[in-house]
Amino acid sequence: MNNFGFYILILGFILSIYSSTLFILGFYKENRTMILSATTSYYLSILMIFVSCFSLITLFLSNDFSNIYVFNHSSLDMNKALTFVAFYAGNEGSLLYILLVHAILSGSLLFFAPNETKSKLAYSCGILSLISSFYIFVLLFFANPFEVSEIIQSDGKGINPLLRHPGMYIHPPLLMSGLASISIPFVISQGALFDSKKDNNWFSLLRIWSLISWALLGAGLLIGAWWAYTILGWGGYWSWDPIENVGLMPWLVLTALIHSIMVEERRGMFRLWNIILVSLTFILALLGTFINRGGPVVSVHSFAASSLGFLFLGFMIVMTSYSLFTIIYKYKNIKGSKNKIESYLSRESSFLLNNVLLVLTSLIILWGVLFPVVSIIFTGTEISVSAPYFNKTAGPILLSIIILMGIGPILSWRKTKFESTIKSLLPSIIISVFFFIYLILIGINKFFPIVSLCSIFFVLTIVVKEWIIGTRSRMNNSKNPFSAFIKMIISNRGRNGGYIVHLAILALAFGVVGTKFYDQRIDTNIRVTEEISFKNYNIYFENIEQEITSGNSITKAKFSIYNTEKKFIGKIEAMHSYYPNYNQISVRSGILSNPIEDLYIIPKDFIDETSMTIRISVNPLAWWIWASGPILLIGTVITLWPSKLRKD
Amino acid sequence: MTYDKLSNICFTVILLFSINACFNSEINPEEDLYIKLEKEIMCPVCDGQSLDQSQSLIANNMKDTIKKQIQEGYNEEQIKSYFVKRYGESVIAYPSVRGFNSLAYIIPVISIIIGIITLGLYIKKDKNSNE
Repeated sequence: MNNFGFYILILGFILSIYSSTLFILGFYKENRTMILSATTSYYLSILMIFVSCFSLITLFLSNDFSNIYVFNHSSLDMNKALTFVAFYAGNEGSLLYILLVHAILSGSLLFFAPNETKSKLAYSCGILSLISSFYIFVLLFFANPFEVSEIIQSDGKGINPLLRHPGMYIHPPLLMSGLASISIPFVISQGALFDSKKDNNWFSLLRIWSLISWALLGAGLLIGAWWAYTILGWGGYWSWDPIENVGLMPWLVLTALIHSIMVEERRGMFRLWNIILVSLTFILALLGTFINRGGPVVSVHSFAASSLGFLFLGFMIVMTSYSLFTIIYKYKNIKGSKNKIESYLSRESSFLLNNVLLVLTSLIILWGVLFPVVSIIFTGTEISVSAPYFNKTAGPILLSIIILMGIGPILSWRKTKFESTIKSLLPSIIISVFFFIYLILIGINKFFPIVSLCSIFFVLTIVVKEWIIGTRSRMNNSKNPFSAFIKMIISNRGRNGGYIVHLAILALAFGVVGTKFYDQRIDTNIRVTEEISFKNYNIYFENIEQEITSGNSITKAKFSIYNTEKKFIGKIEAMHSYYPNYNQISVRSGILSNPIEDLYIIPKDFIDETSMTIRISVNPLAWWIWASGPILLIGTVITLWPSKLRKD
Repeated sequence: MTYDKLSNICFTVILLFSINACFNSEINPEEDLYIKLEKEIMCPVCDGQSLDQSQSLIANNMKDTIKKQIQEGYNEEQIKSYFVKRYGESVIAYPSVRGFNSLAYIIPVISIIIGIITLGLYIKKDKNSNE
C-alpha cells in the first residue's frame, strides 16, 4: 500500500504537469483538442490525489506501523474516529490534506462553472495544475507520507494529545481549506488578466469564490479560537500568535475584496484594484504556509513545523514576482470603467476607505509578525512582539472599521448629501448618546471599552432601523411582520446577507470587549467539600475522580455551582489528561456559559487526592463571540444563495 | 414611527440589562497590576506564550515573584526591569518605544496617515476628472 500510494502520487504529478502545460499551450494557440486533453488529465490528476489520500487512510486503518507517518501519528489504542485528525496531524499528512482540498476546489471550479465561462477557464486551470504539481513535488521529494521504516514496529506513538478534541475535526481542516482555497480566486483573477476579450463575467465568478474562501477562513479562525478557549486552558481565545496572525491577514484582505467587488458589480469600477487585492491575499496565504512550515518566528502552533520553510519561501517569491509581472503587463486587458467617484460622501468612497483600513491593518499585523526578525537583523537583540502590541496598533483601526460598517451601507451610490446622511443617522446618534450616558452611570469609564460599546450599539441601531423600515414597507401586503421581514430579507439577499454578517461582527466585537476589558479571576487552593465564593457564584468542590485507560490517565475535578441565593445553577467538570507516551498533560477547563458571562475553571495542579489549585475566572460576554459564528455563516449563505434576478 | 421606537426600546433594555450585569464590579489596583503584568511578560522558555497562558514551572515561579514584588511595593517599571535584567528584552511582550524598536510603532502610524492622505487625493482627482 505504501508503494502504491507513492506511485499514484507520481502519476498525479505527471498528469498535473501535463495538464498545466497543455492548458496553457492550448490557451495561447486556441487549440480545442489540447484543452480537451488537458481537461481530461486535470480531472484524472484530481482522481489520483483522491486515491493517494485514500491509501494513506487505509494504512492508518490497517495499523501499518511500517509507515513512518502512521507510526508517528497513530497507535493501536487510538479511537479509529480520530484517523481523520491523525491524517493531518503532521507535516506530511497536512500537506497531502491541503493538496486534497486544492484538488477538490480545482475540480469544482471547472465543473460548476457556467458553460459560457468554462471554455475560458483554460489558463486558470493551467495555473491550478501548476500549483498542484508544486505540492505533489514537495510531497514526493521532501515530505513523503508513504515513507517506510526498516525497523518493524508493533505499535505507534499515538496522536498528539492536544489534537484529541472535537474542535480538531473542524478547526485545522477549515483553516487549511480556507488558506488553500485562496488559489481559486487568484487563478480567476489571472484568467481575467489574460482574457484579451475583456469579458466581465470573471468578476461574478471572483465574487462567489472569494466569498467561499472568506467564509472558510473566517470559520476556521473562529473555531480555532473556540478550541483554544475550551481546551488550551488559559482562559483566552486569541493570543496574536504568528500562526493566528498569518490566518487573519489574508482574511482581512479578503474582507476588503468582498466589499470592493460590490463596487465592481454595481458600477464597474475598481477592477484592477480587485485583482491587486486577490493577488495580495494569495501572497499572504503563501506567506502563512511558509511561516507555518518552518518560518523564522516562534509560535505555539508547532504541529506541522518542518524544515521545508525554504521551499515555500521560494514558491512565495516566485508567485509574488509572477503576480506582479502579470499585473504590470496584462492590466490593459481589464476594461476600465468610465464611471468615477463623484463625492467623498458616497458608497464608493466608504468602500475605498474600508479597503485602505483593512489592507493597512493586515500589513501592520504583518509588520508586527516580522518585526522580531527585523530587530535581530538591525540591533542584534531578541525581542517579543505579542498581544499587547497588536492590541495597541491593530485594535483602534479595527474599531474604526466597525464604525464605518454602520455608516457605509446607508450612504447611497455616487453621491449622498451631508444633511440627509446626518438625518438618517440622527436617531442612532441620539440613542447612542443615551447609551453612552448610561454606560458612564454604571461605572464603565475606560476609554476604549466605552468607545467600542457605543460604536457597536450605534451600528446595531442602524441595521435594526434599516430592517424596520424595510419590513414596514412590506407590511402592506401581509399583516404578519415576521413573514414581511423574511420577504424583505430575501428580496435583497446580497445586502441583507451582508447586514447579517455585520451583526455577526458586532456580536464578535461585543464579546471581545467584554472578555478583554472586564475579565476577572482568582488563583486559589481548594479542598474537596470546600466552598469558595467568587463574584456571584458559590463554587462547591464535590470530588476528584481518577480514570485510567490504556493510553492516558484522566484526573477529573467536579464542582457544583450555586448562585448567591444558594440556588443550584449547574455543574462544572475540569480535568487533566496525562499521556505517558508523550509525557504531556492536556488541560481541559470547565465552563458554565450564558450570554451574560462565562464561569471558567482552569484546573492548574492536583496537589493530592483531596486538594488542588484552580484558577476561577469570569469572562463577561464570551458567549457572543461563539454566537457570531453561526450568524456569520447564515449571512454568508444568504448572500451566496443564487438568485434568479442576478442572471437577468 | 411607534414600531420603530418600540423595538429600539426593547433592544436597549435587553442590552443594558446584560451589560449592567457584567460590569458592576470593583477592581483592586494590586490585582489589576498583576493581571496586566501577567499578560505583558512572556514565559522565557515557552514559544510565544505570555505568563498568563503558560502553565510551565518557570512561568509559575515568575508569577509568584511578581505577586511578591507587588506586595513589597515595587511598581510596574521596577518589576519589568527586574525580569529584563534576568531574561533579556524578549521577556517583555511588546517592543520598547525607545530606540530602533520604536519603528514598530512609528511605521504603522505613518502608513495610516499616508494611506488616508493618498485615498483623499485619489478621490479628489477622480471627482475632478468627472466634472
